[in-house]
Amino acid sequence: MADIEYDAFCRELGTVASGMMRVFGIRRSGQHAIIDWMLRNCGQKKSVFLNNRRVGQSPLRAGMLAAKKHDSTRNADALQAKLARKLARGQKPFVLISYESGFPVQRYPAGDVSPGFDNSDFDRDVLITRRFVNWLPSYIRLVQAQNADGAPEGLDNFKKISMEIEGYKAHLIAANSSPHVVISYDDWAERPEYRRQKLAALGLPEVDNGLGRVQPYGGGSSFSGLAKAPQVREIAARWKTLRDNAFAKPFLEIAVSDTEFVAALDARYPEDLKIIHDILA
Amino acid sequence: MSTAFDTISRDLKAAAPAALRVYGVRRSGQHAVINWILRNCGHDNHVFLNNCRTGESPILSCAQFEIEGVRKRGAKVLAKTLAKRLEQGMRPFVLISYELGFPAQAYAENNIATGFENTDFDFEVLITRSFVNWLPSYMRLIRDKNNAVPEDGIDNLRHIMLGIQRYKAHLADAVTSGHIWVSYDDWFADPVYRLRKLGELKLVESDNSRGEIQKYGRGSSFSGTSIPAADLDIGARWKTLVGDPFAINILRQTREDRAFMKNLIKAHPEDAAIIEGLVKDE
Repeated sequence: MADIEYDAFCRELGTVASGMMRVFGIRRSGQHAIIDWMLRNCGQKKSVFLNNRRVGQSPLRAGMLAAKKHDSTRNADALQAKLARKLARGQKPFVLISYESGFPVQRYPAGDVSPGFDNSDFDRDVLITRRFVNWLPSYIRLVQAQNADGAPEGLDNFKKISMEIEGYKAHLIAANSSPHVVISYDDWAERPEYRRQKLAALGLPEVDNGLGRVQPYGGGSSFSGLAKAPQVREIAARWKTLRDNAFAKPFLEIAVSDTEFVAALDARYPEDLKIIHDILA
Repeated sequence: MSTAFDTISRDLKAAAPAALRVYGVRRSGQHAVINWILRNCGHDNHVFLNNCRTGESPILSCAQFEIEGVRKRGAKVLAKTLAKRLEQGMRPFVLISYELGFPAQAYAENNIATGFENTDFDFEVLITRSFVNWLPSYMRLIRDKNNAVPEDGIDNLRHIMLGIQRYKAHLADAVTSGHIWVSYDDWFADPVYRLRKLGELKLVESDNSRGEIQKYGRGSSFSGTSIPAADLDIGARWKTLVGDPFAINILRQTREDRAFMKNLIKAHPEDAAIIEGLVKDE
């Protein structure tokens, strides 16, 4: 394993930490809003949040897409030194590690998702999902904003979105049969009671059950327009924009012709299928 | 081990009277064109290294090879056979093929094939095929390969879009790079076009026919297609897309990609009207 030099420190961190959790989602699923809420309610003064890590690589290393501004310690050695100083001062931080490429169904059983840690080191693994009809327009907007110079309706964007929809499908199927804590972003954003239930499922005390402010992670400079604080109402009603989104229609048609996907969506978000069929009618 | 392969590469280069590289994306008629090149190569012997990986030794990475008309696989067998035959004085025509499209960046960095330089090759040949005839063939390949997932589903969409992305990049290189470009459709339809391309390749006509269907790159799912090339209606494959909503959705997107359509019209001018017709009829 290439990252073996970090294993010893990770084991120490795992021993000292007052709590450890991992969060798995795909982009544009409200992952950072939920992580911020978890950290506000972690019940500890100090927390360490390792954002957007890569599966199978030491969590001390930054993931490919780590936001520059907010991950000032991208260098794993520097991060290790910084954390070591904190531990030396007696800190027992709550540790949260996040992954943005969906739940790693293949690797999880081998226990090497986060080298240096075992699956059993984590108090909870958390899978975040979002309604397809709200996620798709959000993701399309992200891709089009990132490729503002290219043809917004062209084949390159179409391919990127195809790839991520495949990731969405795999993650949704994993979530549907998961023994772990699964949080639906849409329900989380709309219902304080749902959030309260999930805090209990996470074994966390309620400190601040509000939605918090929009998180800067996963934003990046190319789509500053997306970092405006959305109203909850907007988050849950993104699907309304689908009706006038010609670029989204082929994806909706292919999605409903995929019997595996339809079954998975029907199990978790049955109202999505009705909306998609209405739009396509 | 790699040193041994580099030695063989060096000996092969020194012995070869001529060498070519051929690039295409899968289902572009690449093997029919390669077979025709080899039939007209003007040498008794040839070495054909099929489906190599960019950035690696073609001797080490080829999926199959053909030497003195016999097809085999396995780098060690190839190295052994080559070493022996070169020592015996074989001077083979060399053809190396790649199936993931022209690797423009690796070419610019002179890094396509370990053990070889760009200048070791007399020609780089890029093969393209009409998009409307390629797409159904490629869709069939993907659907047959992934028969555990829904045929018109999300997973196949991703595979097909990756293939289209490669097609797009390769097409752009074919029409702009200045290397030799062979349109499979024109090659298939027109003996005069084939003659002209032999001229560009500095080859002398020996057998300008289309030859038999080639066995490379089919996989077991295409076993029904081993028929003479003359029977293949390769210019009308697009007709199978009529009323296929999955394909029409992809074509609709294709039409919106201006950079792609510009190159496609240059390479395969009839495609634009066929795409329009397919999308409109839906």
